[in-house]
Amino acid sequence: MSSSSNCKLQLTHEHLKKLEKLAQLSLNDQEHQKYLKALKEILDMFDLLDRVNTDSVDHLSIQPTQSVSDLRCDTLETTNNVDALSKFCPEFNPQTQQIIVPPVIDQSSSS
Amino acid sequence: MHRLTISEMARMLKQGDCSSVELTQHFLDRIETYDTKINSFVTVCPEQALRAAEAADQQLSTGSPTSPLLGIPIAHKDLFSTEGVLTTSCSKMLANYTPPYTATCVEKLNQAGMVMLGKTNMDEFAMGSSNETSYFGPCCNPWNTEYVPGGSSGGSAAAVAAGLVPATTGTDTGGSIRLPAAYCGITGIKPTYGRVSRWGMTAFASSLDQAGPMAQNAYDCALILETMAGHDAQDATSLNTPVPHYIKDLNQPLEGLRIGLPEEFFSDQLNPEINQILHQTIETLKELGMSVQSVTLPNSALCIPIYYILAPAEASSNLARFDGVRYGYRCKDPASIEDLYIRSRAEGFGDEVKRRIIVGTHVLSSGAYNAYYQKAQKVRTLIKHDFDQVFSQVDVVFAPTAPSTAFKIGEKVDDPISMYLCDIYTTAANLAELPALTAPAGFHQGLPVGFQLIGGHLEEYKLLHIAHQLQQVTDFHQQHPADFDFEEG
Repeated sequence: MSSSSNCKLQLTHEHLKKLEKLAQLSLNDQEHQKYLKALKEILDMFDLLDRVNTDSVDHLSIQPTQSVSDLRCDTLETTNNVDALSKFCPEFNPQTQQIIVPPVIDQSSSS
Repeated sequence: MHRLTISEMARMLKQGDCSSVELTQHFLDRIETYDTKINSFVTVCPEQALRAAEAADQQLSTGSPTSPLLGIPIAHKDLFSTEGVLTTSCSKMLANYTPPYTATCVEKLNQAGMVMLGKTNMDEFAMGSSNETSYFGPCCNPWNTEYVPGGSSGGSAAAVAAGLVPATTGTDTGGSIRLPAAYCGITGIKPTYGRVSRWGMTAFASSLDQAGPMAQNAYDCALILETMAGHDAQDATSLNTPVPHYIKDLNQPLEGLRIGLPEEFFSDQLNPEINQILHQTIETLKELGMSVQSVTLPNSALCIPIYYILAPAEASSNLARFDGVRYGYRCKDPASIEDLYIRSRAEGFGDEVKRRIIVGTHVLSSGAYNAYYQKAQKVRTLIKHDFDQVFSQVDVVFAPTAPSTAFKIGEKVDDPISMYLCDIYTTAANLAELPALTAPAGFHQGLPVGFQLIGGHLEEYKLLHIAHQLQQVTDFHQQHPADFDFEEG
């Protein structure tokens, strides 16, 4: 992607589908239509930014870390809060002390 | 008792005119009687509250209260983690989540002896300006229950306005303390970014979020802020600077202080009657000895677009943790790990949250990042410089809090842009990391109007001072809505 890509991507149906995938969301057809319309209006509002030239502005000059006065020491600490955490895990195996999730690797499709 | 301010309650407790248990039970009874009208609470914890009140009474009986807040009831916005008490961020995603720890600023108030009555309603994940996106139903404005209380800290504002609790905590990312405080006729302050620890606060936009108190007047806000504020080693953005004794100089005169009126904020976008009410407040401040001059914030028109680029961008990152794996809502019978993520999030989040995640994902995506996110960060720098310039000329900025009074429930829910424009005067302070306060200025057609003060970095004391002095010569902060029995007790 070139550095001159100040282009603004148009929000099409296909692009919204890509954004859903990136955001790990899914929209039904009705939501898709509704969101596309609303998002186009929101992106139109962002065109106001074209009014101002920011070529000489260092975008890092305001960051929350400007206000950081100290950081914690980089020391290893061990916490054992499995009991507390297990109380609100959706599925938890107390014997193995593991959170249960669906398979990450789909072994049925392996050759 | 619900007409009393915190300082008046503290005096009664110290003198033994009432006990914390009596005070706590009084407010618990009021919540049970009146909260069905406004839906300001999502969780009430009467047993825990009364235990805390008993402990406070024991401390009070020694004759030496450790804090002016000892035994005083409070409620917390439902995104502050409270150990053992549901903390939902008013989302289906966290509807059954009980944290194993307590947020730092809440713990500080607990240590001071405040009595938590419960958790208050809010827009889902703090995304909203009307408290209509809550999974637990909208909150209503006590001044007229057909109207919104403002958001996202709507429940916190409404509960104080209705006399269900003397003070609450709220959070402010783009105006979420100030807007509901203005709509509900109470006082609220968003401190300087980093003044109050964000540890234990469900994150929305980490470079903008800040917690603060909401109460009936500036003095009570000052009392609470002094306890909430302070460095926290668990929050790398919390400022390691001493917390002033905010109430110490509240009674000093205002002579010599200079107010700036941004010409961009007093344009025809502001309702003319509200403009008139605010100018009456300015006249009162002049009578108190302040001088007034016009200032300019030339990039302020860009606050809304850059806020709605940066905040959703940060939210899309912060809400990535909600994936149905370790906590929160998990969809039924996920077919695969991808299905788990996608359906848990699609089913667990509401519309506005999903919309902002999508916007945030878009502005951070390859091809859009330069045009949106990076540009917005640069403009944010310009806005900060605008304020630096202004504060070389004046001590505080006086501004409207909102372009109008509260609007009807449902009026803007299908028009996101119209909703976003409610924040037109509030986002600037968040973007510039500056403190800002709202207090009542009057009424328009039966609904409260608020004024806003914006101060320099760590100058909360100036804002509280000015608001307190104003509240010595006006009584808007002492007006109460009609249907909540303020005539009795």
